[in-house]
Amino acid sequence: MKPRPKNTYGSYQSSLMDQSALDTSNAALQSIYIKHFPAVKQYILKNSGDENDAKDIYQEAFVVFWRNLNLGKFEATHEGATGAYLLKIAKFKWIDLLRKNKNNALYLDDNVDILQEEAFIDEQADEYLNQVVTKFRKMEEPCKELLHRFYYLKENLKTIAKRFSWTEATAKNNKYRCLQKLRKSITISEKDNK
Amino acid sequence: MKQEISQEDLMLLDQYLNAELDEDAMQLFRKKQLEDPEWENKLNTLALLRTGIAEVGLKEEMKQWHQTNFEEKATVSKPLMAWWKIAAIAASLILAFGVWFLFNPQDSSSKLYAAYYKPDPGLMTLMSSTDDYVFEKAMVEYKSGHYKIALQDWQKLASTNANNDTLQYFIAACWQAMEQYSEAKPILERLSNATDNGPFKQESIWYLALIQVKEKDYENAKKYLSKSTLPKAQALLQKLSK
Repeated sequence: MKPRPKNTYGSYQSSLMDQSALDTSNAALQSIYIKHFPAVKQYILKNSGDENDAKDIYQEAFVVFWRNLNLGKFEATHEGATGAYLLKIAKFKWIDLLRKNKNNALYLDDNVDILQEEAFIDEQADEYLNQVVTKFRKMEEPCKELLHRFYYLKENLKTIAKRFSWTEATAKNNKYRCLQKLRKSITISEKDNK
Repeated sequence: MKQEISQEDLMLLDQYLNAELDEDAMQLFRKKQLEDPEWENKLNTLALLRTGIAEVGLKEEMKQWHQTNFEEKATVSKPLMAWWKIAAIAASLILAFGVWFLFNPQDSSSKLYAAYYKPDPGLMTLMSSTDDYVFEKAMVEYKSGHYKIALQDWQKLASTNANNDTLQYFIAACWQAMEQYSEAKPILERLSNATDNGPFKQESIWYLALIQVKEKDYENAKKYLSKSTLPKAQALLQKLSK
């Protein structure tokens, strides 16, 4: 994994340009999800957790993986890289959670300091993303459906236009309008390029 | 202050992030990189917006992936049946099916319906704590195939919100999935004949036409299909016109 640059919020460009060839289609993501859960579950169960803990921690870790993948901060440079990355994030999150719960006496065989150095979370970007998620959940239709179809289902404007009985030009305009609306609702400032 | 991103810039940035730029478009992208001091910020902002939007869909899908792959596989191992018993049961089933089929061949309209009908896949469910929570909870039931439960919840909502076309459309979708066509039809007819182009007009036309096919009302099916812009509707219309 590439070492994480210190100021990452404004420096995605070069990372985005070198995106790995990891298939991020929904089917591929599902496949990754299913493949790597057992290893995380085993770790959590071995370290005082239960099935629900394993599921929650894994899904949190998967979101971190997803964010870093999309923002060019993670590349699967070799086979096994994705699974190893997910497991590391999960370990970090689990240990962090257990440390906050001081009632747990826990003997870990992981070097927590090494995990912490990985610092998977970019706080500034995370804060912005968390707001995007919150504001997007509250968006009204058809903006929510439109943006979901374009950015998650990866449908093209022609398909979206048919779904809503719009012309393609209308779909394009509405997509722009909806995205602008979402962007304007985010109260965290965007970093200025100086 | 937030820098304005023009529609043209948005298209170019989206295409770049989708890895869809051809040579000319990539040249334009490079030109903007050099000339627009805000270009990198715009790219970063869009990348974050796209990631956040998609994340909401991802979180919803993860719940389903987990449920399907890690929570629904409670199997109880039973002792294997003797092979001769399995063979005997299979043979009797084949005989029974053959007799049934002889006296109940599926007619062509039912076959056509079965070939084309798939329940509407439903809307994305975000389960946010908004007024849509009840609607979305029913949508989760609908997408899981629990049509009766979804129908009951949506009908309760419709009792105070009768003019909501989305609600009515999915109520009709439930009825149709449950094969209660006489309940689905009036709703689909109203939505299909609406003068405005509501979000489910095309789908309503499609599903209404399918019911008409099933009921062998081919003239009306063709009439409605000819109003539809959906490619599958045109394909079915061609078939009916032969």
